[in-house]
Amino acid sequence: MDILSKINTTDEIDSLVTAIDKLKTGLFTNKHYMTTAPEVIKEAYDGAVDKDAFLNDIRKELVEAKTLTMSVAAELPGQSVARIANWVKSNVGTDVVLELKIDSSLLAGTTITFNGKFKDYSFKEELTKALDKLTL
Amino acid sequence: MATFDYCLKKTGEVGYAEQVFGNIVYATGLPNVTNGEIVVFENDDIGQTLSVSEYVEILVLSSHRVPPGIRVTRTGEQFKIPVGDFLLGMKISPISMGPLVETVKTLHQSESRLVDAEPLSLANREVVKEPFDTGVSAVDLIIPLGHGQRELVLGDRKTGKTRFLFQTVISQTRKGTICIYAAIGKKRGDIKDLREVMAKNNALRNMVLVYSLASDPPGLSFLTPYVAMTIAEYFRDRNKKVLVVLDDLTTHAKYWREISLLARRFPGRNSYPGDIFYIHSKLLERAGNFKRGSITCFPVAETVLGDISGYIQTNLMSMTDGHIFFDSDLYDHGRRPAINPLLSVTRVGLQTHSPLLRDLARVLTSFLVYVERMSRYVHFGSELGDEAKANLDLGDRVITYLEQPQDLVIPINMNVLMLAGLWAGIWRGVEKTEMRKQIREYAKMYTDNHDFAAKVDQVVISQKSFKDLVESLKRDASIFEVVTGNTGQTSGQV
Repeated sequence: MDILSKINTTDEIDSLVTAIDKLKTGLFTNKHYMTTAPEVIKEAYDGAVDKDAFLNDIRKELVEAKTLTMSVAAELPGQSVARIANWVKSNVGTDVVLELKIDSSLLAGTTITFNGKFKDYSFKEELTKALDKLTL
Repeated sequence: MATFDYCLKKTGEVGYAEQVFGNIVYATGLPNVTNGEIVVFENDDIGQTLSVSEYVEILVLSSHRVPPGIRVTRTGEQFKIPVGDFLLGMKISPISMGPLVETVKTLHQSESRLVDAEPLSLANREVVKEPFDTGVSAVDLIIPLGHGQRELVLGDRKTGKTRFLFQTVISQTRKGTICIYAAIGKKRGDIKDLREVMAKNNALRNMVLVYSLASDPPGLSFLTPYVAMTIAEYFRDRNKKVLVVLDDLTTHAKYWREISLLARRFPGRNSYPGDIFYIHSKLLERAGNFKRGSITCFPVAETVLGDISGYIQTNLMSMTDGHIFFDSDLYDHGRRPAINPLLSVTRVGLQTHSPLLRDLARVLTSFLVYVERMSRYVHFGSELGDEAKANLDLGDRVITYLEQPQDLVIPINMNVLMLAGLWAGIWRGVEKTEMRKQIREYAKMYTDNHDFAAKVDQVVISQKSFKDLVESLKRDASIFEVVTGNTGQTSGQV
């Protein structure tokens, strides 16, 4: 099941992992948590022969997902987050998930970390460069 | 966080510390990091990459605990230290001279050298040919050494190894040799003692002390001897004679064992990792006699209950050009220095000596073996003839002669002359305390009085063999009158 293509952010991954853990606890008991299972896996879960293995595979895939970390100066509205996440899915990879962090020292702009590479596109960096030129 | 930010901008790579085991950190990210590269954590702590596979394995070189989740970035550099003449007289710790310490480099405009460097090839090396004087009679006369030799100093704790090394350093600094002392995992008090002794003997001006304390992180202690050797190579390349003391490599091996076990390396014999031999051999191979300059190396190894068949001890014995063994039995019997000349070896020192000195070493060694065998008969209470008694008395005086106070350094020619004089009988009938006093006076006179030193050198150089020297002193021992006022009587010779 290509679950990562349906997940945008690491927050969604965290809540999905929590839900999967809850489902696993109810697997071999009389308690069923299907009514609270996330929609994104419900259909596949019903069709799975080995439900325990299915949940384990999904969980592993979610935990090991590649993450693109963006640090921004202030919290972004939901629509902006969705637009950025879609751009990431289209241009970087459908299995890449977005992680957003807040760092007010950036002032504006963003820093991006992906696959061990770091790029700084923040206003703080631009100001620092401008100040260095002035000093020289 | 200026250092971390600077490196992050410079390299554009970042990683995250996923697992922390003591001083070993496993990080993800850093796609282009190389083995041995220096990395910086977000809290400005330094680390060195041990291996790169699924995770980047980092050895932390700072004493602060690195929290999991912290960011880490590359520096793009291997561990280098700034080197220069400014190091003379300094007491340095590897991290204080290590990477990112721009202040030192800028201040002194010095060059930087890799700590983990390749040894010079055979084409740049020469045979050991110049004698190396330690100033200690038992070594200079019986276990002679040469410049460029690697001689292991071996013995139990508290048997006088460090004091012997101090005497050697003092003796050599007086001759202009640059001395690098690497104190690995020592106590603060020991470092302070060392500095005080060297300062008192005016040895600091030609000396560099590289130290790591017992409380320092194991990574730092591990790097200490390599830093010392790198500094030695700088002075060697300036065509100087250098002495490196590595005190001590058994402690160094234990630190590497600790790091390897934490890094989940498979333990071998005595839980040491499989590369423990290589860790020391690549260090000692950097010493030797070269076409320009020389590096004489004294690695120190501690034994337990006199057991010289230990793993690290035998490793070091196989990669050095001989060893000097400090016997705890002799130490307990009051012999200082407690060097056992019959269990000590020099593989390349004899070739540096003149025929006279080689002859002396041969005569002295065989005489000491003879005396030891005779002493066993005395224990049985057997009757001895006059000749045997005379030889035992001479043997007793020779052993008294070889017992040397820690603050006394005797130049080689004076040593040869005094021993020949002892053989010729100048101290026959003289009390041992008076004999020791006169030895000290002769050594001082040689150092202070150039005319006397020239006369002594002339007498020693003019003879081809030890027997000839003894015979000439039996005929005319007036050179000794400067202290004794008489020439003593001739002795019964073996």
